[in-house]
Amino acid sequence: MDSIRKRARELLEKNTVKVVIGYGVGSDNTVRAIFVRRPEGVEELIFDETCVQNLAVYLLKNEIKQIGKLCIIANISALRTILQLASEHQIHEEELLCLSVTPNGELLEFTGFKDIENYISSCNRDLPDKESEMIKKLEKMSVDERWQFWMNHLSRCIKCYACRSACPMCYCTRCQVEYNQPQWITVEATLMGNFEWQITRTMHLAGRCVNCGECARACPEDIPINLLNYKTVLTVKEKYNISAGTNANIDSVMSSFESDDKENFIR
Amino acid sequence: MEKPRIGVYVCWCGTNIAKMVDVEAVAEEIKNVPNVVVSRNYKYMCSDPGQDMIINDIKEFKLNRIVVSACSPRIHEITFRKTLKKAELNPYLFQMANIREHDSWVHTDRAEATKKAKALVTAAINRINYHEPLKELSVDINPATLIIGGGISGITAALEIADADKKVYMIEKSNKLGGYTADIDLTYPHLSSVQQMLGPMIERMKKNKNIDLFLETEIKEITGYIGNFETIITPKNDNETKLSFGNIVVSIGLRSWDPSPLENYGYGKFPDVITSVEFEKMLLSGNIAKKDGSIPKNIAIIHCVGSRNKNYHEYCSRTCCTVALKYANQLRSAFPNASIYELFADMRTMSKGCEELYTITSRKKVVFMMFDQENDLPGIRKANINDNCEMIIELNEKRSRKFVEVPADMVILMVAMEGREMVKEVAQITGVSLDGNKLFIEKHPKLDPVATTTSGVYTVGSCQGPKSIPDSVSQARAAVARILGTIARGTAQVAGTTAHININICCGCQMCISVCPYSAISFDAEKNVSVINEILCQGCGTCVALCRPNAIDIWGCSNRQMTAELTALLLSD
Amino acid sequence: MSDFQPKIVAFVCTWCTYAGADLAGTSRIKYEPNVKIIRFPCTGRIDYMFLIKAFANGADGVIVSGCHPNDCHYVSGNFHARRRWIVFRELVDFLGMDVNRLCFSWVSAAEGAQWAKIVNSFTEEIRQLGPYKAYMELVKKDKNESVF
Ligand SMILES: Cc1cc2nc3c(=O)[nH]c(=O)nc-3n(C[C@H](O)[C@H](O)[C@H](O)COP(=O)(O)OP(=O)(O)OC[C@H]3O[C@@H](n4cnc5c(N)ncnc54)[C@H](O)[C@@H]3O)c2cc1C
Ligand code: SF4
Ligand code: SF4
Ligand code: SF4
Ligand code: SF4
Ligand code: SF4
Repeated sequence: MDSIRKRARELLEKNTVKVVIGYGVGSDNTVRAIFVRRPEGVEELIFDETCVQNLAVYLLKNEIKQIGKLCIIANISALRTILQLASEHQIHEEELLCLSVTPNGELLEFTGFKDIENYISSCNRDLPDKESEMIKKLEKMSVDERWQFWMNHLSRCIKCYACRSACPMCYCTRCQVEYNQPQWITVEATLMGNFEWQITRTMHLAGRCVNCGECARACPEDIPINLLNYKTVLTVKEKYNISAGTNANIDSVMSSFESDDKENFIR
Repeated sequence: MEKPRIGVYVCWCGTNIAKMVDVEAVAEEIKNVPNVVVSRNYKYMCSDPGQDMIINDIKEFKLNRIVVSACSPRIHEITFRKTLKKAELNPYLFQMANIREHDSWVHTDRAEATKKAKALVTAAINRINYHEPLKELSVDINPATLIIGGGISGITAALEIADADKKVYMIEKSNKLGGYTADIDLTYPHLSSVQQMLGPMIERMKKNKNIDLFLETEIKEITGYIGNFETIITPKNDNETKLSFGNIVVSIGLRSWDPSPLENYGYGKFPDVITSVEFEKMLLSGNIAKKDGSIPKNIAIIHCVGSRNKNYHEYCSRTCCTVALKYANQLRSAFPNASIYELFADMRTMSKGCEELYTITSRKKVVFMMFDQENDLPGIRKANINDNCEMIIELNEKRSRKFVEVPADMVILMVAMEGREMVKEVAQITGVSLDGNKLFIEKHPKLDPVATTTSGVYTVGSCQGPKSIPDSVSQARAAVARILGTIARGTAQVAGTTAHININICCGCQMCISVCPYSAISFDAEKNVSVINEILCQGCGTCVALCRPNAIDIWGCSNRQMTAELTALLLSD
Repeated sequence: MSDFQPKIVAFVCTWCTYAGADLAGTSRIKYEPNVKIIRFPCTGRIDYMFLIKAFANGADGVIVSGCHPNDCHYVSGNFHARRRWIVFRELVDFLGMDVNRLCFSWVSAAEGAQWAKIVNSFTEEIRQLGPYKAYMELVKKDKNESVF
């Protein structure tokens, strides 16, 4: 914690970066994102296992980008997000500086995307146990049971799009749900519209989701939509041996192919 | 956009459609579909009166959208687009509903077929509401032509183009020009010397400065589009060379089939059972002899070996019957006293002068016998010592219904012609489809038999279907006429059915750039968006389906059009 | 159940499967009338949204078909499509949709008989499955009946 504060202070004092995006403690005692712009502000920064939020979502926000060069205190999800966003040409090496802390408390400062790639390759990128279990459980259900499971959940969706705002990969200028030529996805929060919205969101994140869980955490209705994304994370890993956010320079799964991609259902 | 005023035309196609689809009922019912102003049914929409009807209606009723419900758009879309042009309506304000190939020809219940026709037509009408006038784009034509395959077809095309003072790149896989024609002695029906024709042509090929000849060379990849193709070749003993050209002629011919699988003919087992190609070489060398060097006294020629045979090639190889007659004549000249037998399944002597050759041959003491190709092929066995011949062919003669034993010292198998070993690769490289027999598919079997569905690529000679030398030459010249036409115009029109990006929505992820097979999309770093070069775009639509925020759509197959078609198709069902 | 006439829509590419269906026609091969074709330039163009919209508009089954691998007229459209289908199919299965109502196939311009075979067998499969009740419920609940 001290090492982070020290380094953040240096960076701000020397004007190397204009803002440090990190974790702090909010009024209600919960961990939240804070934006430190003055050296004295660094005392508010914390970093421990409660810092699960994926701060990389802020990197593409216009208000933040305008400030100037950024420093981000990145957990593994955020680091992966950075690599994925880099591969999608959304962020550039010179625009930001990443700090992180290893599980045994060592401060990491990444000099570039390559550096992050090397670190990420040694990190655990598996899905959290709880979600893995849940996916297995769902897969064991009958099709009808699964359908019922999702209908029960999706019937609560109010189309607030918090899941979209929270997701660092949902950076589109205009989301497909707002597309009206034709209006493919029902505007109102009807069950079918909610269902279609989640298919769209998941398809759009296939091969790009870094399993940070932000979408589900954001959902006011506690709908476990991250399971859908995690399911595709597994599909992509199993079929193509690719994990999103591990390489800043590769084509995404859905925009590339192998001529011998395996499947067993095409007649 | 002006309010759609749609004219709908339901074609009978004589009885082809009308027999299975109640065309009158279809035309009547769709009158109620929104925006339909005129709805008619007519015997032959593609005929001149049919097209005139559309032109008149466009003028009289101020129609601005036309739906024709008839055969496959792959056959007549171009015809009707031209009709619209004549009536000064943009040709893309048109849609076809295929109620023949996809309906009347494949269904047996008239009520069901009629119902399906209504759904297909309604869907077409619904979608055409969203059609927009599209402009066709003009591309410059590089006047050079690439020819793949230097047989008689390729040679003819090359000389013809070179004579018009245009550049030709001739790619030939083997070490010599001529293809099968270089191995033929005399050609039917007049038994004139092939080499006397071909020799001077090959000489001209070598001397013509407009022709760059690449022997023992193969094409690995071609990039680009009509007017602007490119390839990199590695000629033997030479460095990589880049070639640019505007048109392509595919003339890789066919190869002869190895008849070993037909064990009843004993090819490979009896030394004097030979193929037509082997015999032709014998004729050319001027020495017809058995393997042991002696002269054959009994010679049998067996037709349809591997052709018109369900297990090997279902099609007719077209030239073999007449070639077999040619052999009988040449054999008679060489051996006035030999016994010559023609064992045929059906005698197919199409083309000018060929039936006459049959008559002439039959007067030359040649014995013709017929066998049942489907159920009862002849078989060859070794003769006994006192048979006075090498082999005995056993056959049930079909016309006399008698079992016959034909003596033979030499048997010539008229083998089938089939796709060459590399045909799939060549098809893929040139973007032309193959049919189930590994023959190149032409753009239109009747009206456009040398062009292919890929603009700027032509297929001529036997690779398009087995054929004789004069037919191959005709096709080559036909393709050249088309090519010189395009070169003379200097430009070609390419369809305006291209993709386009809404730069207010594009978020610059550049995924579309990765998927475009034609490198038609580039990144505008200043605006931070991707942009499509509409000349390079071939309209596949892969980028459209990939773009998450739907920043991309495509003319002629837009999300609106396709959704409208889909919805109407299901709701009217 | 056996006289149930399923509604099936087929999204096909123009170069291979559409041409294959044309060949089935010119060869006068007879098959079931339930499948109706929508023609696309390439399988690469077929957005998964069209599949969803087909069910939303009452389809009981959907066919998607194009050129065999390595035979795409546009070189690689079918390869991209294949990836899309693999992911899509796994996803909708996980959501509890009945993937037996989706039929993916490669049918070339030369395979008229194969097209007829696929149409017949898939129509029969869907006939056995019956109407897609679960999805229809979903549609019924939706206020906006259709998309345009
Ligand atoms: C035994 C026999 C006798 C015949 N007799 C007669 C007759 O008397 N009269 C008549 O009219 N017709 C006759 N024919 C038919 C005649 O041979 C054909 O009409 C003619 O050969 C067709 O010419 P083509 O140029 O299309 O193909 P081909 O002659 O097959 O030439 C194709 C050329 O393409 C080359 N090639 C193949 N693949 C590639 C590749 N991947 N890249 C580059 N080059 C390639 C080949 O090496 C070859 O040189 C006979 C045929 C046979 C088999
Ligand atoms: S979909 Fe959810 S888990 Fe995946 S990257 Fe977006 S927010 Fe994170
Ligand atoms: S759901 Fe899709 S279109 Fe919408 S913001 Fe996310 S990625 Fe973009
Ligand atoms: S956050 Fe939850 S309620 Fe809001 S749109 Fe997403 S799934 Fe629906
Ligand atoms: S895929 Fe769409 S959003 Fe991405 S760069 Fe291309 S047009 Fe823009
Ligand atoms: S439609 Fe898109 S992917 Fe296809 S050729 Fe055009 S720009 Fe390229």
